[in-house]
Amino acid sequence: MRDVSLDVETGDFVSIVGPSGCGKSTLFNLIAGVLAQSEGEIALRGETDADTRRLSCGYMFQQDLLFPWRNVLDNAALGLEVSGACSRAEARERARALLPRFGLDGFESSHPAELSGGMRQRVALLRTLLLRRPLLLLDEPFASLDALTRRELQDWLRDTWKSGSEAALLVTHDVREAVYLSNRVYVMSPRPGAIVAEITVRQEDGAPLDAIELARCEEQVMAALHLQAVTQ
Amino acid sequence: MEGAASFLANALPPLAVLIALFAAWEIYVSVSGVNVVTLPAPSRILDAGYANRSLLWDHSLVTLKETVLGLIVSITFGVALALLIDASGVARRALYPLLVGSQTVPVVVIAPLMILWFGFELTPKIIVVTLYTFFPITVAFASGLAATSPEALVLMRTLGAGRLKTLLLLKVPQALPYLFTGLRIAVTYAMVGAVFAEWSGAREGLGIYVLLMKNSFRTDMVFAAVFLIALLSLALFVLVGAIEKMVVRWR
Repeated sequence: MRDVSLDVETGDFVSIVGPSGCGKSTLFNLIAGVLAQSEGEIALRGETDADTRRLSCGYMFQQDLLFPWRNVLDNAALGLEVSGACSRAEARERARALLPRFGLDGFESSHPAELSGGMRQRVALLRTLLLRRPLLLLDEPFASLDALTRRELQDWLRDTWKSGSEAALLVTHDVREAVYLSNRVYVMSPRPGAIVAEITVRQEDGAPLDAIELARCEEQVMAALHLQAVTQ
Repeated sequence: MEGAASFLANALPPLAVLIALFAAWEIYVSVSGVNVVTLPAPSRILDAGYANRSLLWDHSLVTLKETVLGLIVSITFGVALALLIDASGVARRALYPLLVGSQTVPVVVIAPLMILWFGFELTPKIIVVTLYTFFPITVAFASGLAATSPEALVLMRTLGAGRLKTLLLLKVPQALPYLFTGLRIAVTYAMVGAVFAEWSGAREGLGIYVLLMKNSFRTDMVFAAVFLIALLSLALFVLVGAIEKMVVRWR
């Protein structure tokens, strides 16, 4: 990975699009302070220390990583419980209060094995958002879902993410998803991973784009990706 | 009702084989006229066992107590060892080869030594059962702890969990099914361990009872005690399975 430079402002929903193997997930692990970078600087609200950064990121993974021995409520409360921000009972209460909003009403004592893929990802997102970490990191969170469920969750995520975080960063190889959700899209090239284009989709809090404008932005992103593939 | 039906479906085939074997044995004994000291018929073994049932029961209780206490020590020791191996690479490299090596030492040699050092009471039996059974527990639990998905470990780190919380909230529950696999192997050996320790020196218990009966040419009683040991081991195995179903409910 080299020449990776990007910035995310408060209120931003930013996507990084790139082919598999361009180091998108590695980039997230670096931002979240799980891995250490060999060169360069990563700052979150001015903090460059990896441990501080790690506790400022809400990291949502491709797999839901729900614990099969915990029910929905306890899985959702896991983050709060671990962080020690409040007691276990209060963590559960806070999770319970948000269940209806996450479409999980009545499922609090179900176990992950009884849920659909979409519901499981919603529990995972609830677990992440309950922590109220300033930066939300979404690592292809909908990649394993079917197209209908994915679209449903994208709509829902667009309305929900701000309830827990101040900014969101999404990595995906789905151009449509990136354009649909973001106000800015970065395009990344493979081996070595580098940022090769930045496309502004809409202003923050701007009106949702219509289908033609969305298609135009998709074309732009595709062009940047394609150009990269041709010149290599 | 469904549980009863599946139990029957599972229990019937081995039971049928067992009955066929006993029938063949019974016929062989009556046809060949073999000496009762050499090979008593199953009917005679049952009769003798039933006639001495209270004596057999008293000895069984002693052996069961040794087995269960030995298993408790073994689980504690085995789990602690697995946690140590999982926590430190140094401990793993230092201990693992020794543990494997320890399993090549025959219990035939160890048991009399234990009696020599600790006498005829409970202690040597518990030690022998522990030595006999901790290994599968340690190996199974350690591999369960090591099988935790790397992504889940990263998740716990990003949530802000330290080593202890990661261990208690993720690794241990995750490794429980593995632990029970090891435990099922351990209970099958545990009673044999206790019986062998008694054989090497004891005042009561099925092991010493078998030895005494053998020396007084009561082959029928030897068989009766052996069947009882097998039955009790099976009961322990079933008990562990039931506990597993209660503890590992998410599977």
